[in-house]
Amino acid sequence: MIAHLLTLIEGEWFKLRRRWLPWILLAVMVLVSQAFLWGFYAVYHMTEGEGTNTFLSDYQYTGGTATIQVTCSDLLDGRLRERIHPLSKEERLIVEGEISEWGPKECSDYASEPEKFFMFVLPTSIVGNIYLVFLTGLPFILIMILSASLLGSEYGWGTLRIVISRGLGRWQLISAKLVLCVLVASGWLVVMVLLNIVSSILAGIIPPDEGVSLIVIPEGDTWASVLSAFGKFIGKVLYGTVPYICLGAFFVVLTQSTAQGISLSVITYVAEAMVVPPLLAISEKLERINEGLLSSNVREWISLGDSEAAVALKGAETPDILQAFLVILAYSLVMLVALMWLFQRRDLSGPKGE
Amino acid sequence: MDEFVIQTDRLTKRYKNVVAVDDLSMEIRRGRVYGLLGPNGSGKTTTMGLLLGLQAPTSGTFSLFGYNHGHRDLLRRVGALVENSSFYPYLSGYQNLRYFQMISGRGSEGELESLVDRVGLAGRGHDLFRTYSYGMKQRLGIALSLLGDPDLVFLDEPTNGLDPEGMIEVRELITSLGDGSRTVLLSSHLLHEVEQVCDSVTIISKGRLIAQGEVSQLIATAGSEQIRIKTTDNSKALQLLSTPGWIEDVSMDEDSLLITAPIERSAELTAALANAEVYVAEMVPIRKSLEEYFLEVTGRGNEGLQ
Repeated sequence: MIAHLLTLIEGEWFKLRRRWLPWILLAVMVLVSQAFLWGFYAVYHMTEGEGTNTFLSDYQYTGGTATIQVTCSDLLDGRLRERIHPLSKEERLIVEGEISEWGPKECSDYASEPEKFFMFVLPTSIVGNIYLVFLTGLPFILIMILSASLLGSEYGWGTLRIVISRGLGRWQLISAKLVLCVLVASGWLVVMVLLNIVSSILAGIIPPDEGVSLIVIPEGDTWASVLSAFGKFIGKVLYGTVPYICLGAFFVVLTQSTAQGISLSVITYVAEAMVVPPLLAISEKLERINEGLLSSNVREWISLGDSEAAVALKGAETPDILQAFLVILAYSLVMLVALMWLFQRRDLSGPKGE
Repeated sequence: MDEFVIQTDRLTKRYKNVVAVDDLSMEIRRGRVYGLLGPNGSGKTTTMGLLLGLQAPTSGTFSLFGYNHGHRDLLRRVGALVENSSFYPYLSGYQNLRYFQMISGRGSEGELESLVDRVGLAGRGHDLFRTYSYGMKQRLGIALSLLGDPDLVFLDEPTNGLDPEGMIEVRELITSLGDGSRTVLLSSHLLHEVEQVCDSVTIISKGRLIAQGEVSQLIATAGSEQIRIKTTDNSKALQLLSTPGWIEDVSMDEDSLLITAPIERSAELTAALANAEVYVAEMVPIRKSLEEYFLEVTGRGNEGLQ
């Protein structure tokens, strides 16, 4: 059984590596990842350690006793008490209330100077940029395109009939394709990691950073903790791609078309990740539905944990990792069972065109 | 147990209001070339699709090599070319075969080279499939159906798109395939092709079994054979040939005689005439063809048949 599956995976790779698609998708991933790394490099050198983001407005308050100004940097670096100290007790309460509304709204995109710095310095640059690429959702869309195309093209060319008529087994074939998608996603990650390492080395040796150390371990971390976090993150990211791989394949089996399968997958992703959450936010009751959405759980699942900024903005609320794990598992299983059931039952006809 | 390589029992496939295969029961023995004959849309390809597990039957059962369908491993003993040859367009013909060889888990690189040569694709095997002509695609499909030396080969309209020379080559190839213990099921709407290549035939029309048996026997049951002769004295010959009991009928047809009698008794015929000093100048046997048999059993015109 396992040997048969491995043979099928090898066969799928034999075909896939000769297509343009996986290489184009890899190029897109690499470009975005590199854009983040070099973008942070550029922004860090433009702001020159000011600790503020020029695109963000500061909070200002003029009271009876004093006028104060609070920046996102103050808020996230824990200097709020120090800033509001000159105010009276009553005014401090007012300011704290206003800051709790202003902070999350204005500072959610804020990157502190250390955060920017660690985005292009080894070893944190390896994972940091990849994490940001995954936060954009782009890799999930690309992996859906890959899984949809891997199966949809076979419908288009009419090759499924030949493959199945050779007694390979339907669910075995689907399994091989899905496993290959996960392996390809792993390959993408490896390439991104290697290129991030090369770019970080370059960033450390070209002006104006000739003097900056190439490798800086963040305070409180060790090599062991950084590498462990790195390994965990890669594993989590791969697990997070599984429901999207199944989603792409499911829509292709449903429509028997690559184009329709990709369209439906992307529409579902966009609706679920970008359109539904704001609509649910209009009521507290509806907001609970948000907790069951795939995209919000995947985001929580791959999060790097309690960063300084995350704690400040979310009030020290930690993501429910177990719930995220279970929700991702449930989506993957439901999608997989539906996909297999449909594929086993469907008659296979001739080429449908691309 | 293995004597019948294919057995179907009341096999039926229905698509909404259309019955593609209707209560089809047939048996195919090992080691012969079988024809599945019928006009376009008669259910030949659907029957093959059912046997290959590409479609699920609405009702009825079938077995391959004596085992009920559902045994995925049985299909590993089968090679098939179904309808059009569909392959991966961005791979070469050789790479396509290599892929199928890889996932089947048997065979060698040498086998691929010899297969490509055998089907007449030598020199073009390493070209991309998308650059192939229709005939070349068919040849590659035939090569695939022979990959791994299967015990049972399904060929669905294999000579479609081939030039006359290619058709002859492929027919010779099919005939040679059925020489040993291998069984070939050839689906075709070309009557003369089935007649030339197949030992036995199953005729289906509108999804139903019309007739089944050896080609020669089916033709023999279609009616008596005829012999056309020209003699030195046709009037005397007509008179002479009215007497023997084994001659069913004799009639004058312009400048020749049309005799309804078994062709194998031609020698007796010429001897009888020679004894009466009537000499045969020309003798032509007129055999019934599968086409005539087909028209008789289906009671139809030959639409969709060539």
